[in-house]
Amino acid sequence: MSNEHAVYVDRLVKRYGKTVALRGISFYVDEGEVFGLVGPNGAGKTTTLRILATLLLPTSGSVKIFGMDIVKDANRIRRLISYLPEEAGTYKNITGYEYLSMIAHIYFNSKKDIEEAIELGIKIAGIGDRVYDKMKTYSKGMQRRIQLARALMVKPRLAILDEPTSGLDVVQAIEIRETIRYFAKKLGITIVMSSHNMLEVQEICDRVAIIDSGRILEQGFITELLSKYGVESLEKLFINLIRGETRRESA
Amino acid sequence: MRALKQLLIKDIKDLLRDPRIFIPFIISAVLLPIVGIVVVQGFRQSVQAVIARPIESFAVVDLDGSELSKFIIEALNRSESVHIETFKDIQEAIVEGESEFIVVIPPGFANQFRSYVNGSGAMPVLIVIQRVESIGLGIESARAYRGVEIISSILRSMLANRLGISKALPAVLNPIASDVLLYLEPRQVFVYVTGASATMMTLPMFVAPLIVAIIGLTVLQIAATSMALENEVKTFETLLTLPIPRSSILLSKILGAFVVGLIGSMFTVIGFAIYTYMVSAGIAQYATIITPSKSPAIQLLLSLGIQNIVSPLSLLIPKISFLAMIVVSSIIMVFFLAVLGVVIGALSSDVRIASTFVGPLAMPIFIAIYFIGFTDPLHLDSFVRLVLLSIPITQTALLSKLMIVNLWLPEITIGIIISLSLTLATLIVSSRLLSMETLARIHYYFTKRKMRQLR
Ligand SMILES: Nc1ncnc2c1ncn2[C@@H]1O[C@H](COP(=O)(O)OP(=O)(O)O)[C@@H](O)[C@H]1O
Ligand SMILES: [Mg+2]
Repeated sequence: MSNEHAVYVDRLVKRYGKTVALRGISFYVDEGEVFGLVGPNGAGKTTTLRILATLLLPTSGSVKIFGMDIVKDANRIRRLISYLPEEAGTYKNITGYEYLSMIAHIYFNSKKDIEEAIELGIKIAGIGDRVYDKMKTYSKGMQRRIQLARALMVKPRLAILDEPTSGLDVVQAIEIRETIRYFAKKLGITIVMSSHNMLEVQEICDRVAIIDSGRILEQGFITELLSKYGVESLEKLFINLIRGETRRESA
Repeated sequence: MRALKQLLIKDIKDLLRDPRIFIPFIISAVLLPIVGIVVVQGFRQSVQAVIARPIESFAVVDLDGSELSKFIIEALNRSESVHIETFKDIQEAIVEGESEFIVVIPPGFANQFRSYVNGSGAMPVLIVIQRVESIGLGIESARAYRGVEIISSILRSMLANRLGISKALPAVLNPIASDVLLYLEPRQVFVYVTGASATMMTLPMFVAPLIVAIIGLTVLQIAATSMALENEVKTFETLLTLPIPRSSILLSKILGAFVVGLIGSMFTVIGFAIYTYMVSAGIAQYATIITPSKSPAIQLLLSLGIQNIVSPLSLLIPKISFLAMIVVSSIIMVFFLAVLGVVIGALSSDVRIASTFVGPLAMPIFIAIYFIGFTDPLHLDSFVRLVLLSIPITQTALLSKLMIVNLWLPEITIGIIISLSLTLATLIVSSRLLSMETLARIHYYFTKRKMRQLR
């Protein structure tokens, strides 16, 4: 069953000492989907994505990526994924081109593959000749574009993007969103991304899971969720869910 | 391997283009010569202080047995300011005496003195043996000359009383000369060199550990900065998800710091070379070199059948095993500091925090090395010595010091083994640290504390 999914998360729990960050969450992502993990700050999004990216170990529960176990097959999984950390910055004193070239050399062996990847990276970054400047001269938006290009140009089967637009202004954020949507579909990359911005998720994701305090409150195709609750936006849906939750707790 | 090379190139480029890295190199290249001026001044003052301290006692060996030598000893015994030990021969004086130096009145001294006073012979020479524990700063021998000066003044006043001033004028002015030898206690040998020139010769032993420390600290600083930078811009999190072995990440950091640290230390070492040159030129003022065939002291010892006389150069030609140990120990030290730097950098969520940790480390390290440079390793408690030989930082300095006396102690082998294990343990700890699991916890703890302070 889980073999058909790009990502399969089953009753995942993560504790940091006494803090319980994830209280047994389950969701799946199908190949080719753009999946959004949406919720307020402190909900557990970064924790979930770091576990998917083999950075953190689950306390309990199981996570499979293309059928491989996140703990046992971590090394194999790292060949198939790429990860963009929250608030990702860049090395200051090397150029965007040098950075893309380094990543291409790490992922690929043949000259042809390396050159292709760099070319694609420059295209995704879309910052013109500035790619040959040191990255400390880049704006926040350009830094994020280089990081996004780095993550997508190696054509991973799964890209994990943690709040890819956080800290950016509106124009920069829109550009990043369009780039994600366009290249994910074009290159056939499965995307799992997180955001606390419901609007953004509604715009680029096919399916979402709404997460709060380490629990998934609801998940499904956005259109189906909206009609199920009879609301016109994810924001409204989220408010309804939170209210429902507190009502249930106080009862 | 491929990934390691890529990461290494990236680290070296990123670091060498960073003003935060290369400006401190240039500063230290300029700063050290200034420190040199200060140190030379301090050295001059300490020489003056040693010379100025009153001479309380010394030993006299009378090999002449003449009226004159007896007169000198009586006069010294009458003196209230110095205490005199008298012995029949040199070995006895060395074994039983306790004074800081031994004045030997050689056979024929009285005759020589008489003809000199009459204006027909060469200046009579007193032999002085300075007792030392190690060939260190060596300014003690300046005190031996003052002991001779006491005898000079005795003879001066005697001549002034007995003879007409005019005839004895040269002898009144300069009644005797002296020739000072060092007796290196731990190895029981005479060394034909005066203290200050011995210092010149042994300076490399003193300076080498400092240069290793400078390189090591530079490497530590770089490793910490480069690691903290990765945390600061969250690139480290990315590195950990790339399809590369964990060991490559750690190794590229250590090697990168090594390469950049070596390049950077070149500046510092040049500054240090200028500094050392200034210091040794300052010391050289007090140096005299002895030619054995012209040294009355050596001739006397040889005529007495004493063979254990060595040249200072022989002290500098160490056993190969010692030299090899020092090389090994230097590498251990730099490697240890590189790993320590990676650990500090990994724990720091930004460069400022890293510098806060690294900054205060340099002082105690240099103080420890200076301290060892000026102490006598053989007088240390054997446990303290073992501890100092086991810490990668103090080990090199103490080894160089022991190399001068060429004394192989069992603690050396044990110390090298302990320091190696210590370094490996640090390496293992740091490779553990290089997981997001640990780093996330530590950084979370730091940022939470920061937020609490902000509130
Ligand atoms: N390293 C950590 N140690 C302890 N608690 C942590 C750590 N990281 C996150 N947390 C806590 O776990 C919860 C989830 O955090 P996170 O996954 O970062 O949420 P999000 O990314 O949705 O903002 C929060 O309550 C946070 O305070
Ligand atoms: Mg987060």
